[in-house]
Amino acid sequence: MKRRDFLRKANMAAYAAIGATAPNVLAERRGAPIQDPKADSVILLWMAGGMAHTETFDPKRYVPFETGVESKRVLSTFPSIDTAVDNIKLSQGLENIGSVMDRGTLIRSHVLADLGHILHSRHQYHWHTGYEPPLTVAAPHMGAWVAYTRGKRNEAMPPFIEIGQSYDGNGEAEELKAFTTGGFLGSEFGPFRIADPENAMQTVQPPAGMTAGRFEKRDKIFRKLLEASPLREYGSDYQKDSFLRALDNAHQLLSSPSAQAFDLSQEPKAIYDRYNTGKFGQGCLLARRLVEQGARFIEVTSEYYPFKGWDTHDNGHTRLVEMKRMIDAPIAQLILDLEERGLLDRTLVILASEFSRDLMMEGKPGAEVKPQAKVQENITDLKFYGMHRHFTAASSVVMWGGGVKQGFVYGKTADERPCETVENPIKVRDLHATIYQALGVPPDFALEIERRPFFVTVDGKGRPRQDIFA
Amino acid sequence: MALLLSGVLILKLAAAATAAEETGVPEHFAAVRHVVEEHCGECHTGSNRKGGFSLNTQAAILEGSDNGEVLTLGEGGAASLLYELVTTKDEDIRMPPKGEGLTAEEADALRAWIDAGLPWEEGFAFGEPQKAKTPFREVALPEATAVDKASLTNPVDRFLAPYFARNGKELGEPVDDRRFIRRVSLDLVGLLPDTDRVERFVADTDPDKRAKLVDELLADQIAYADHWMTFWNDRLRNNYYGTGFIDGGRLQITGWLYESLLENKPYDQFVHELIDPVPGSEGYVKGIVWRGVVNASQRPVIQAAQNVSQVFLGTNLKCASCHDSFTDGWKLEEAYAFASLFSEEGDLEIVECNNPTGETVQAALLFPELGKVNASAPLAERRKQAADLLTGKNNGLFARTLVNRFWKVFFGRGLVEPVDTMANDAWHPDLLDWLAADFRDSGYDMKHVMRTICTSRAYQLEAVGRPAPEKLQEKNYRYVFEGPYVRRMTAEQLFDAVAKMTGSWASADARDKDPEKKFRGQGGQFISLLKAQQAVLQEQKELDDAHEVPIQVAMRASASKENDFLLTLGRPNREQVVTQRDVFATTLQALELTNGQTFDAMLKRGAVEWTRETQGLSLEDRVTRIYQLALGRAPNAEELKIAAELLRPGFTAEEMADFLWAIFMLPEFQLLY
Repeated sequence: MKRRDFLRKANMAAYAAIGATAPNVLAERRGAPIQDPKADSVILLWMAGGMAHTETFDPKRYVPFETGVESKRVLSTFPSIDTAVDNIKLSQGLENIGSVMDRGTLIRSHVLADLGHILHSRHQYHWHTGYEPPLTVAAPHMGAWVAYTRGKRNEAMPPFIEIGQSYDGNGEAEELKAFTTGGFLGSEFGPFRIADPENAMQTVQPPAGMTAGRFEKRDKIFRKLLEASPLREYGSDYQKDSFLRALDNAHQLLSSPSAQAFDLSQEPKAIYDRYNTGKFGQGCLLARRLVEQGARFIEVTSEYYPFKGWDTHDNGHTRLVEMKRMIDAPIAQLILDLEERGLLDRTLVILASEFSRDLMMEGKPGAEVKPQAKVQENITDLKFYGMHRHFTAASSVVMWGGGVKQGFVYGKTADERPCETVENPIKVRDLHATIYQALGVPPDFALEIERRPFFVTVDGKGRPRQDIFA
Repeated sequence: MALLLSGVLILKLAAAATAAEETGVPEHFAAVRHVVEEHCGECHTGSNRKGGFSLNTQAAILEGSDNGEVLTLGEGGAASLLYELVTTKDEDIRMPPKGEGLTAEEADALRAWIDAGLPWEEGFAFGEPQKAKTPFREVALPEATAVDKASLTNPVDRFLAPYFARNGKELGEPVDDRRFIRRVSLDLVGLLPDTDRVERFVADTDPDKRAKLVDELLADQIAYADHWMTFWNDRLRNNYYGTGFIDGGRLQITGWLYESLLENKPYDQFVHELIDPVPGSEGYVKGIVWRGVVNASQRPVIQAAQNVSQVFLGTNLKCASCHDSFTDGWKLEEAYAFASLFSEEGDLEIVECNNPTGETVQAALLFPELGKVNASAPLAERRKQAADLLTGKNNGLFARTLVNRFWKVFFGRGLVEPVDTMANDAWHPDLLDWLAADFRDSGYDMKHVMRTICTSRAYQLEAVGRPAPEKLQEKNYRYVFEGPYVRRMTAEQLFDAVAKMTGSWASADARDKDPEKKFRGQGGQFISLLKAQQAVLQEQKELDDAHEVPIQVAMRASASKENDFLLTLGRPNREQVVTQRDVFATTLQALELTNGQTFDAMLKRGAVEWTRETQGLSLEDRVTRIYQLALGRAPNAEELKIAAELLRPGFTAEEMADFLWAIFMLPEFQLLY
C-alpha cells in the first residue's frame, strides 16, 4: 500500500485553533492530535560549538596540568564535584547546576551522527531540525514544529523565540540561518530573533524615537485610510486580510502588557545580578520572563561563532573555566525560579550541544576523520591542555521539568578513552521523539510537502525513551 | 446489445466533448476519479484486486469481480450492483467496509457516471504511474469571439471566451488604465510606474496604447533583467553569498544570468547553456558541494538531476532519488540514469536509501521518447546531447513547463498546479498546448510569451481574491478561471516600491576605482552585473546621442545582498529550488514593517525628502503627489481629510514618515490587483 494512503486529510480547523495562517503547502497531517502533553513551554539551552562531556556533566579521571604530562592520560582537566544527588558527580565549576540536579534527568548517552567531516553548522542543523543536511526541502527548526503543532500560548507572544545569536560578521551566519527557520512551515512559524537580551525591548517597541502616542496615532490614521481606500469595495479577501491580521498581531505585541516581559530592566537588581554572567545569563533571565508571559518555545544559545565559546581548538581548560562560569549560576537560577513560580512542571528545559569533544580523538572510534586540532604527545604548554577535538560517540544532555524524572541518570559512558557511550545510546531521532512526547506531539506527526510526508522525526520512527519520564 | 451500447456511448461522448475540451477529462469522470481514489483505491486499484475486482480501467470494471459483473452498461446506474453496494444500509455488505462510506453526492456522481456509460479519460488507469507527456500538441487557434462589441483577437482570449461561455460567464471588462499600468509595470519590470508616465498613459487616446506600453516595458532591458533576476535566482538556486560559497563548493552564475536576461536569450539556448555549461554558467550543474559526508541522494550529480527535472520539466525526482517513488511511479533507476548524464565517471552505481546496491545504470533521459544519449561518451558530450534533446523540438513538456510558470506569475495560479507537477491536468489543456507551441514557434522568446499574456483581456480582468485554504480543502472544489488572483508583491518588489517612494536606493557608482572591492559585500559578481548594465547603457547612447550614460546606478533589491527586510518578507536562502513564495502574510513580516530597522531607516529618509519637496505645496497637491506615485491615483475627498490630520501646513518630517508608513501598509500598496 502506498505510504501516503495513511495520510489523512488536513484538518483545517486545527489551523484555526492554533491561530495560525495555513502554511504554504498542501498540508495533510497525520497521527493523532496532541496527546497528553506534560509540558507547555520549552527552553532549549544551546551549548554551541561542542561541549565536552568529560569537562562538564560526565567527568572522568582528572589529570592536572604539569609540563610534559602525557596527553593520552588526560580524560578531564577538572576535578569532580559532588551534587545534590549522591550518584551524580559533575565537573568543577558547575556547583550551582549540581545543586539542582535533583530536579532533572541527566542523559549521558547522547550519540551524534557521523557526518564525515565534523562540521558545527551541519551537526547543529541536524540537532535542531532532526534531519541531516543537505535536504531537498527546507526543514523546520524544532521551535517551528512546536510553534506549529502547539500554537501560541499567548496571542501577543511570538511562539518561537531565539535569544543570543548574532549573525552580523559571523562567518557561518548563512549556515546558521539555514536551520533557524520555519522551513516549509513558512515564516509565521519562524524564529523571532533577539540577538541581545539586554536590548530585547527594542524588538517589541515602536521604532526608535517614536512615542507611544505617535505610534497609536499612526495606526489610527492607517485604519482610517484603509476604510477610505476604494480597494475596500472589492470586498473581503483572505489574502488581503492575512496582512491586516498579521499587522494586528504585530500591533498587539507592541502595545500589549506582555511586551514588558522583554524588558530586563524591570527585574529586581538582586535577581538580575544572579543571572548576569553576560549575554547568556541575561538570555536565561529573559527566557524565564517570557515563559511567565506565555512564550511557547525559546532557544537561549551560548552563541555560535567559529572557534569561540565551546568551540575550543586551543586553551580548552582555561576557556572552559570561563564557559562554566557563564552558564552555571544562571541555569541553576532559572530552574529555581521556574520551580518557585510553579512553572517547572509544565516547562521542559533542555541543555544540549551538537557534539562533545576529546583531547585525542576526532569523530568517533573507528571513524577516519581528519583531526581538526593538533595534539602534543606530551603537553608542554597549557594551551594544549584541553578538549580540542570533536567527539560524536557520547554527549551529555540535561532535562528539567516537563514530566521527566528527578535526580535521574540515563545512559553511561566508558571510564577510559574513548569515553564513548556504553549503555542506552540515544540518537537525535529518539531524543527528539522524547522531547516531542513531553509536548504531546507524536513522533510520526507529518505534513505533506511535495506529495510526500515530512515527519517531525525522520520517517516518523523516533522512539521516545519512556524511562526518562516519571 | 452491442448496437445499443455503442449508441449510448456516442451520444454521451458528444455531450461530454465540450467539457473534455477544457479539462481534458470527460464529464462525470473527474468526480468519480476522486471517489475511487478516496474510497476504493486501497483494495481495488493498482495491483490490489480484492474479491477479484479492479477499478483500474473501464475494461476491468466491465469484467466484474469473482462474483460476476458489477454493472451492465445501458441499464443505468441506479440498477447496478456497484451503486447498490455503496448505498446500502446493510453494514455487512456495504462498500467500502470501513469508515463513513460515500456521501450522497458521491454516490450520485457514481450513478450519473454509470448512466453516462462510464466515460473515461483517454490513456488513464488507476494505480498507473503519473508521468507528464512530452510531445507538443498542435492545437488550432479558435476564431476570435466578439465580446461587448470588441473582437477579442488575442490568442489567450480566443481560448478563454468560449471557456467563460461554457461556465455561464462572460469575459468581463478590463481594469481601467491606472490599474493596468501599475499591474503590468510591477509584473514586467517590478517597479511602480512614474507618475508622469501614468498620467501620459491615461491621457493617451491611442486604442493600441496598452500593447505599446507592454512593448515599452519589455524593451527596458535593464529594468526587465533586474526584475526577472529574482524569479530565476529562486529557481536556479543562484545566490550571492551563503552556504557552500565559503570553501568554493558553490559558484554563482550571476553574471551569465544577468547578461542572458539583458539580451533576452532564447529559452532553449538559455537552458542549454545551463545543462551544458558555457563560461559563467558552470555553477548551475555544479550545484552545492557540501563539506563532509552527505546522503547519496544529495551529491551534486543527483542535485543536477533533481533540479533540471523539477525546474525545466516540472517533474519531481526527489522521492525517486532515494527509492522508487510511492506517489508518481518514477523509479530509483530512472533517477540514477538521468543523474548519470551529469556524472564525470558516467554510469552511476544505484544507491537506495543511502545503501549502495552494486548495480549500475546507464545514462539516459527521463523520457526515452525524447531520444537516446550516448552513455559511453565523455561528460561534455553526454551533457551536450542531453541538452540538445531536452531543449529540442520534440520536447513540448519543456515549453509547457515554462509557459505554465509564467502563467502563474501573471495570474497567481498556474494552468497546471502544482507547477512542479506537470503530470497533472491543466484546467485548459488546449490553451497551455497552444501557448507552448507558440513559444517554440517564436524561437523560444520569453518576452513573446509575456507579451501575449499581458495584452490579453484575460490578464487585464478585474483581479479576484485567492480562496482561503479551507475552501481548497472542500470536496469537489474545482478551480474556475475568472481573472488573475490578487497577488502579493515579492519581497523584492515591495522593497523596490518602498525604495522608489523614499528615494533610498543603494547606488553603485560606475566611476568607482575599485568597484570589485567596494561591492564585495554585495556578493562576488555584483560587479559583472554593473558592467553588463553599463554596456547596455553605452550602446543606447551610441544609438541616441541625447542619451546620457548615468554614472550612478540604482541598485535593485534583486541584486542586493540580503537584509532583514528581504529575508523576513520571503527571500529564500536558495539552498533549495523555490518555485513559489509565501502566498499569505505573517506576523513576523508585519513586525518587520512596523519596527524593522532597515524599513524604518528608509521611511525616515523618505520623509525628509518628501518634506523638503512638498513643504511649499498645498495640502491637496502634497497628498496627491504621494498617492499618485504610491497608488497611481489621486486621493479621494475622504482620504484628503484624513491626510490633513498629519500633513497640514507646518507638518514635521515625523508626521510625513507616519503618513508614508500608513500608505505603505495599505493592501492597495502592497498587493498586485
